[in-house]
Amino acid sequence: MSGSFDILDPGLSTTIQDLGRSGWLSVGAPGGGALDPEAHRLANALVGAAPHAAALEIRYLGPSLRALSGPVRLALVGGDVAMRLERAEGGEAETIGPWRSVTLQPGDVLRVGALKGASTATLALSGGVAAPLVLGSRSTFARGGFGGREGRALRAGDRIDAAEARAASGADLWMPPQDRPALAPPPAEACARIRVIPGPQQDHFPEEALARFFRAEWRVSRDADRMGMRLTGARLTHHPDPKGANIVSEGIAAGSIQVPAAGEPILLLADRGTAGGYAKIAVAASVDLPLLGRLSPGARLRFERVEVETARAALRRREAALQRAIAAVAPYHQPGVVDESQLWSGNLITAVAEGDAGAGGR
Amino acid sequence: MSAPRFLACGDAALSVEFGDRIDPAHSAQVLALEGALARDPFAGLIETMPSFRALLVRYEPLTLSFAEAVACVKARLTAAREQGESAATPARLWRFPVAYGGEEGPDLAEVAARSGLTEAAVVAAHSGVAHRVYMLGFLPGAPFLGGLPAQIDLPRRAEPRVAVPARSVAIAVGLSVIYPVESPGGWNLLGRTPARLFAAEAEPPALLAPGDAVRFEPAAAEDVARLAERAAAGDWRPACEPEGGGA
Repeated sequence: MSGSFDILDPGLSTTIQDLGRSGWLSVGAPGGGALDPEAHRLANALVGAAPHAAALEIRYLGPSLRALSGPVRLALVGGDVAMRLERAEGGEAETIGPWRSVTLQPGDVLRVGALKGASTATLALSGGVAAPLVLGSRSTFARGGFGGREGRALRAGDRIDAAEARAASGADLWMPPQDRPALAPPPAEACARIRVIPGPQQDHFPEEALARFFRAEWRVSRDADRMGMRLTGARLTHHPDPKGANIVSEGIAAGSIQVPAAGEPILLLADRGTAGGYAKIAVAASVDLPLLGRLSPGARLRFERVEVETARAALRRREAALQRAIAAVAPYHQPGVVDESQLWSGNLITAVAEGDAGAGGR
Repeated sequence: MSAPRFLACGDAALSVEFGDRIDPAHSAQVLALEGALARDPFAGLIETMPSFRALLVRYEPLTLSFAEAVACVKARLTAAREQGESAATPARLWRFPVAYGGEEGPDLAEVAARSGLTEAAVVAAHSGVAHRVYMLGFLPGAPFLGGLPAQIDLPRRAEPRVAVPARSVAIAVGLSVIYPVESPGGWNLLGRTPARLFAAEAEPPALLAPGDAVRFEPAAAEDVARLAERAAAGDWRPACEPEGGGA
């Protein structure tokens, strides 16, 4: 029996995404995919799905859904959100947090509320979300009108099926608190640090403009979506033409920061136009793209100049930390309740033993 | 031929820049390098994207450093140079019907006035030359076409439109474009073509490819509307030489 559910309320903008497509930039289709690929991989790990399996990407306000056939196992990662689980059999609604899976029986209703601390979260489904492969990916690309569910955000009444007809079995999973990688951006009053590599048109900007770019505290404007985000906080000048704001249109890598003549930067994300004709002052390091995907309008950020090799080293460290977190996924046990059989069958006992041996080491 | 510049675009892409302007010779170098990398890809290469004068090369940053990626690309430049000459000649010549003016081309009169030409002379100029497809981009399947006659070369409109209809043929900054789907846009709209430029499920998904050439042929609005319906249903596409489109 394969799990399925229907959407009672779609939330603000809930789309089917996977880790994106590659190989189609040359025809004008951007990579797309999860704005926060880290949350996507972690959420899939918590339901036992493959890292690249499709899941639901939630922006700002989550959906409400009802299990149709089941069991349906779901997990949410990204931001701090309390979900309400209303069992078909009645009783008081349970509050479910992120970083764990929960198993729904037919008729059960899960209500995901407003995300706190991040703009983006992933709701993963055991077996992955079924959607046709379009240009090698199940990701929704709304501007192109393809991928996901008919190239659009989900609506009330849409039915979601698991890609793999495999019933969720065994205990729910969770990620123990000490193993959770930091995903949330800094709190609203603090400033996110985004590492960038000087861009292919860095020589279109006078020294003074480059210095201002790295000195300024930027804010994400309200003009922020899956394509990218306009930043406010300072105005940057260009050299006179032909080293000015406009260049011959060329391909644009994810994370590119372009500066039109008006002087306010635009940071380009997953669903960007693949070509553009504005000078690019810098390009965000790959390691910080997931964090950029989590920022909300009003978030503060600063750019830190790094060498390409420094960015690569940071990416390797981050990747290793993610692999460790995924390996730490364990059977869920309610705080305060010790299930000895699960301790012995899982690898928790090993962790405890190692913890004892290394007392004081952490 | 001067050596190209290799510019880091973050830690996962680089740009190979052959010049600083729109020029068929630079485009031929770009397409030749794209071909060389497609025939002989290096480990860690993800994809390439040609534009007017540069090739964007995406690579796997956990596999390759910038210096290693540059070395891999340089090693294929020699093979690319040997191919360079053939890439300069158009691969295919397409004939796109266009309903010029009227509802289909609401800026034709303004383009004529600003160019000091009659509307008929603007149409004759635009349809009188073959336009080279330099690149596809911004939207899936959207071509950037060079070869716009100088007498109708205008800047973009001061006020971009919120919604340009799908299949509009437009000009600005020395180029022509075709909007594959409805989209915001600031170019001067001359007319509309029935050609369907992109179908995600088709193989290949984009009708045109860089290196192709397009001739626009004036057609009646009713014929364009009729052909557009057939194109949407998948039983018409513009004529192409060589037939079948062997690129």
